[in-house]
Amino acid sequence: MYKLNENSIQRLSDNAFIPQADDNRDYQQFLQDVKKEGISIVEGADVVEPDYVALRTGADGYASTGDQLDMQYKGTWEAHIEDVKTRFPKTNTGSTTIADVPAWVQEEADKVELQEI
Amino acid sequence: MSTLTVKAIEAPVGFDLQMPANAVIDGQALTAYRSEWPSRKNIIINGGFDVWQRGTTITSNASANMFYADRWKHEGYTFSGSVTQQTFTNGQTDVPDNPTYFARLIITTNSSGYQAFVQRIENNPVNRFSGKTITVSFWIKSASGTLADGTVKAYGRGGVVGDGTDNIGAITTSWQKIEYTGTLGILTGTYFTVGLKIDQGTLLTSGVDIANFQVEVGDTATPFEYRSYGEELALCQRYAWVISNANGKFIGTGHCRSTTVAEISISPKVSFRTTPTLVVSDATKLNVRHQATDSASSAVTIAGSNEDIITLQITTGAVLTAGEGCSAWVNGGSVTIEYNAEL
Repeated sequence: MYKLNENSIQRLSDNAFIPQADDNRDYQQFLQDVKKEGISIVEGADVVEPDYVALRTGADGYASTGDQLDMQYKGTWEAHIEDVKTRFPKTNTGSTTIADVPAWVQEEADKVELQEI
Repeated sequence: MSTLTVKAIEAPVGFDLQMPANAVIDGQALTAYRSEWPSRKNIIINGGFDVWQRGTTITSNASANMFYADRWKHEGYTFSGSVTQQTFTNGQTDVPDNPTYFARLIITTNSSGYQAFVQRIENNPVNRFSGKTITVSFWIKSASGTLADGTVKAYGRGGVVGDGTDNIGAITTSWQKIEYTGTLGILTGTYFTVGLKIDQGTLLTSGVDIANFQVEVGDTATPFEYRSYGEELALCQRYAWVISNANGKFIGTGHCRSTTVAEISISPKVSFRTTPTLVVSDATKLNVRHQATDSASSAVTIAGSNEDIITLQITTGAVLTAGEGCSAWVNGGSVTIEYNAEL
């Protein structure tokens, strides 16, 4: 069984992360396995929706400490905090779903000839 | 008038020296040099079984396609057994040239199909070996008792090298040198394979010992070519780089991509053959150090990498600050990190 992620292919039997590189023998074996056993041996990538904590502390969340001190001096600090809390409410607890396996996996597997890797 | 005295003429590494048969200097015929590769002659890497980055005892329980000593791998079907590094007695003379180590292959179950102990020799550039006559030589003995002819065969002797048969004769408990010569066909793949083959059902319960494996271009088996450990290790690391017992070691530096993901860039000691596969035996032992605080990883993956630069993406709790620097290290456990670009 394999699982796709953002940048590589995870082989679940030994937790190996395989790059999508034509000369890599594990990638060649992955395509062979898909061709031989079918696309059902591959699970799509996790799609993670971050929770409110990650969002509030992320790039679009609270400003840096220095900027917040500046906001306090200018009197805009409370509005900034309110804006972040409104945009990322505590009801947002995040979620993880599994994406469909992209078409390239089957397309690349169809190109290979079955052989011992 | 000055006199120029020439003591010897040698070809540079990697070049043949061709002399006309009647070449003479001052009435003396020039010494005839071997017309094939005079040095760097052993195409096999780690033929002396000195380098074992994955450990010196590799055990298989119904597995297949494992790697043993560097560059040496299993090929065939599932089996149970082991490959271990063994040490020659210092001063022994049974196998010449003072080898330090040999490999012992043990097979205790073999019911699924053939087993092979092989090395895949990189055929790069693709026309490097086509049509060449090569000679394979190695030393072998049985760990206990005599093994009848056909028990252990030479993988690729009959087919790849075209020598007609894979058999190498009976194997006793005394070291003996096996040699055979053949001509390769037109090679189009990325590698060709040599080694030992054991047919389905055959067991090696006490084991067979292998030493000083050499493949060279030419029709004569010459003495085993030694390379320094450092040179041999560097040759191996084109195909695999393994960091064993990594506890306490920093493995790279990078930046926080987000509050939960650190990207750590690593330059391998040797350019890999291709973008490697990453295997971390226990990813939870990887820690990201950011602002003097360590955060355990929940996942690690490889991203945006190539033969010369590896980027690890390490996921932690939401404790990082995007854009700031960080490093990664192994905190506890006997973690092994393997970058695998094998053939």
